[in-house]
Amino acid sequence: MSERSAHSMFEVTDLSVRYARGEAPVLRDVSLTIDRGESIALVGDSGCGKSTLALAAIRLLPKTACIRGSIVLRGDHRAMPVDILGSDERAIERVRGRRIAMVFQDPIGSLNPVMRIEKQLAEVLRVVRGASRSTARRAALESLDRVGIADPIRVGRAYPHELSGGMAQRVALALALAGEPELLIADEPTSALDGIVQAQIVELIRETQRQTNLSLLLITHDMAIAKSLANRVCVIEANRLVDDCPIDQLTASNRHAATERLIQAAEFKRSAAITLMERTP
Amino acid sequence: MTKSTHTSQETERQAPRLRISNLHVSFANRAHRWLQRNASRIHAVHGVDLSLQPGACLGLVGESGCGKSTLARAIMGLVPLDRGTVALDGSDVQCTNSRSSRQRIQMIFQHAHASMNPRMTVESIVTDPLRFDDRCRKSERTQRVAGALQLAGFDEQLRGRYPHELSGGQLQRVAIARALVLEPDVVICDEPVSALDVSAQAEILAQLKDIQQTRSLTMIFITHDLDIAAAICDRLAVMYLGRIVESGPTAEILRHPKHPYTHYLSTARNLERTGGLAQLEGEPPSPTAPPAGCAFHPRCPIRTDQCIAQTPSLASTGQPSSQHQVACHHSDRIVELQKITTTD
Amino acid sequence: MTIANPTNPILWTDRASASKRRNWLTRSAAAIAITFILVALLAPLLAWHQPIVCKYQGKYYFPAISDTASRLPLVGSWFQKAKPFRFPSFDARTELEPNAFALWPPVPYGPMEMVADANCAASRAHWLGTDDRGRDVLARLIHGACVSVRVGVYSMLLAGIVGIVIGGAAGFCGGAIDWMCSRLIEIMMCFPAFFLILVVMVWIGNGVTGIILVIGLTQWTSIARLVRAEFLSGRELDFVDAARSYGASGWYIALRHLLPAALAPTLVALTFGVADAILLEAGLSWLGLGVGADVATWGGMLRDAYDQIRTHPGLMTAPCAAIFISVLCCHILGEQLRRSLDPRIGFGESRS
Repeated sequence: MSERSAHSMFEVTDLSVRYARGEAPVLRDVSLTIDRGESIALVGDSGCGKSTLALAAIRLLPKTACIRGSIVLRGDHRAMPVDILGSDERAIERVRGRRIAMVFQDPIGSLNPVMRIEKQLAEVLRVVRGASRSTARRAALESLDRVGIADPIRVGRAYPHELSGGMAQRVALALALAGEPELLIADEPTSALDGIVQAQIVELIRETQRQTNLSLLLITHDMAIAKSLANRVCVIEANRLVDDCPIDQLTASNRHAATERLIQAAEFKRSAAITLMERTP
Repeated sequence: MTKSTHTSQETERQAPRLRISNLHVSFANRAHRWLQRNASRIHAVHGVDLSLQPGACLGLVGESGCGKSTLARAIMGLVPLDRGTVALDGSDVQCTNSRSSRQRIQMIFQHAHASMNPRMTVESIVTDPLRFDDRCRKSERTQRVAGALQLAGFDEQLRGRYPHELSGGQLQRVAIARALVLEPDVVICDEPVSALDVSAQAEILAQLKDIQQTRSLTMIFITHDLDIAAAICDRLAVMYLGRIVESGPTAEILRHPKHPYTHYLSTARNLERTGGLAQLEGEPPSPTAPPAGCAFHPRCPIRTDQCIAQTPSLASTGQPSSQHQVACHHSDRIVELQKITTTD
Repeated sequence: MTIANPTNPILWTDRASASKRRNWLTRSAAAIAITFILVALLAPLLAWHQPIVCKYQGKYYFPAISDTASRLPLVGSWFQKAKPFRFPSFDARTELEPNAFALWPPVPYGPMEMVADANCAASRAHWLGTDDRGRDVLARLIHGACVSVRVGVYSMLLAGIVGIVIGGAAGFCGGAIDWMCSRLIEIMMCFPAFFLILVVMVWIGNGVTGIILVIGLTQWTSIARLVRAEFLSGRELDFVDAARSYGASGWYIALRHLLPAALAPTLVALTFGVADAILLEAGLSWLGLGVGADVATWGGMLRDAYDQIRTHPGLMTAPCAAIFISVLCCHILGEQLRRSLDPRIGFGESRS
């Protein structure tokens, strides 16, 4: 094994995706490495292909999609490397939820609408951890408690539509973390949420990462969120990865034009408020 | 700075363009259980008073579910009012229920894509309102549509496209054009940019601000994002659970929030520093069972028994700029809250 | 460890071939459906006991063409006024004058004519043989298509109109009107349709018009429910609110914004309904309650063949195949229509 693999836990090499033969590619030759415990933000406008990368990472793309390149999950010492694109379906099923978990933009839509929260959680815990029926329920309530839900018993008995957006996103996070994954893919986890709740979820993800050495692949269009969670930012523009830089070098002058544009767009709103506050005595 | 005080003094003398007084809206909430039906009412908007001078831009800020969209729909006449009046230039919109007075208030919807008929082209979407404008002759329609699309910054070349063939930003421009084609006096924007990418947000906001100023439109801008409100509005009204809890000039509210909720709203904006700040605990309460007294008290760190017993009303803060109003029993203790958040 | 392999054969699946297959199926279904409709419209040019063109006593006559024209929808009655030349009998063709000539349809027999011995096998004179009364099976099949297509199309047109009006009124007006229309739909649906049809057929009597009326007036319920649901969900959409906010009237919203959205699923349901109507008509004719013994129909042919199922089972094949193929075509076309009219299937597949 090379020196690099000691640190990197997830490698995407020259990934190209098109949804059907003959269509324009959604991703072109994207290469990306995530080290253990690292948080990477994938930033770009909608339609640039960033969600496709997330779906490809757990092989949830439609069967008709044409994929080239490779995605390898190296993981830590306890598990073998997995070739995500080349393995058979059963091997991938063992990876999903257990080693790579995903949180989606629409939290309520990503939960089963006809199942109580605690039952959904218990189900996942039984599958990924092999918990027994009786311990699964207790573990479900514990995991709700861990994602900062003040009243786990009441929330556990609720159906998804009875929850607020922030609460549902916490539940979705609890579901994702149930399998103690090595990599969490968060696809726009806060863009459907209001300011206060957004801040709460950002803080929760940050706290979870601190406790569990989780690697994070954050997908967002908002550079402000990327800055608040990631330590490296990858910018995608027009289906290509155009920039990849550590967070502290974002302000450096020689950045790609797309990066500059995204930074400026994020600062546009803030700047108006700041100038307003500075102008008034 | 001097310019802004000048204009505010000037507008004070004018009669308000839009005046909303004591507006109440409620919905029947039918919870179906097996073989029984529980009917209760959700009080979505609870006694809202607003007044807008001509050319003013008011930001209505609050979490989702606080009733700000319902308020917008009530002003538009899309939901029935329980009580209260919406007066345009002094005359009640409901009494003079003629089409032309309604058309003087137009709305930009949150989801541009859903607000357009998927089977119509951009051109026919923007032309559609003109069919109901009695003043507009058939021959003028094309010209008016072209003018509105240009005002909204929409590319003329794309006018034959269908909504699903356009990007979010372009779609929002079509929505703006459709709202402006009737040349209204008041435009209500219901979260016009929250579904957009940050980069598209900036463009649309700049465009809206530009239109608002050049046309001296009266605008109500609904958003959950204080930064967006600050970028475009000269006054803010913060809504919590159907009530307005704080209102005043934007800069004043951003600098010296008087209501604890507004305080948390403005601290939450700084995502990079959230770790160091105390966060607002708990979830917004359900409008089906609003808390007694001040609706914010279950989440408020400076609550007292008075907050549980008595609902505070919107009152002037006593600051020199008397336009700043707040509905809190302890607005003078807000300094304590700032100490909590900074030392924590 | 070599993990990266540039091309994964499992993942390179071909969506184009699946859509090509579907295209081929739809095209053949459409071709068959068009053929059936053409056959129905032009039946006397294909199988008739009169020639297409003939010269008789020095004059030219076009008896089959004028018969065809007189059977066309809408304009047919205009042609009926001119009484055409008719050969007195089938045998007249053998008694033509020496210098006369006649161009006959490919099947020179009428559907009700007894032209040969009973139960002939297929031959060059009778391509599909003859039935128990010596009538040409192919001629009956061609004229049976006429009845099936008329019943299928007209009854669904009627059901569509009734369904859209009642469903649209229920969905758009709401309140008491919705309540009344919904109860009417429920009552109609609860009533056993076949039994209702039987009773009404006895009352109205046989005939194509009667059967069209009966099928049309019993099959509208599913259309009405569909339109009502579309209108109800459409009323909640933002673009309807937008139209209300710029002052559009209720009628305008219903016709311009709601109806087009409801029309697509209605059209699909109607296409499936045509298949049901063809089956219903065949079933009624089989029971002897259909169009009547004086008109050739596929159901009637089945009934005649059924009497001799032990001695001449082959007689069942032709009408069975005709019913099967026409119903199958309707379903394939309906399915393709559903796919092409559903905006989600069209452009919902790509995502960022």
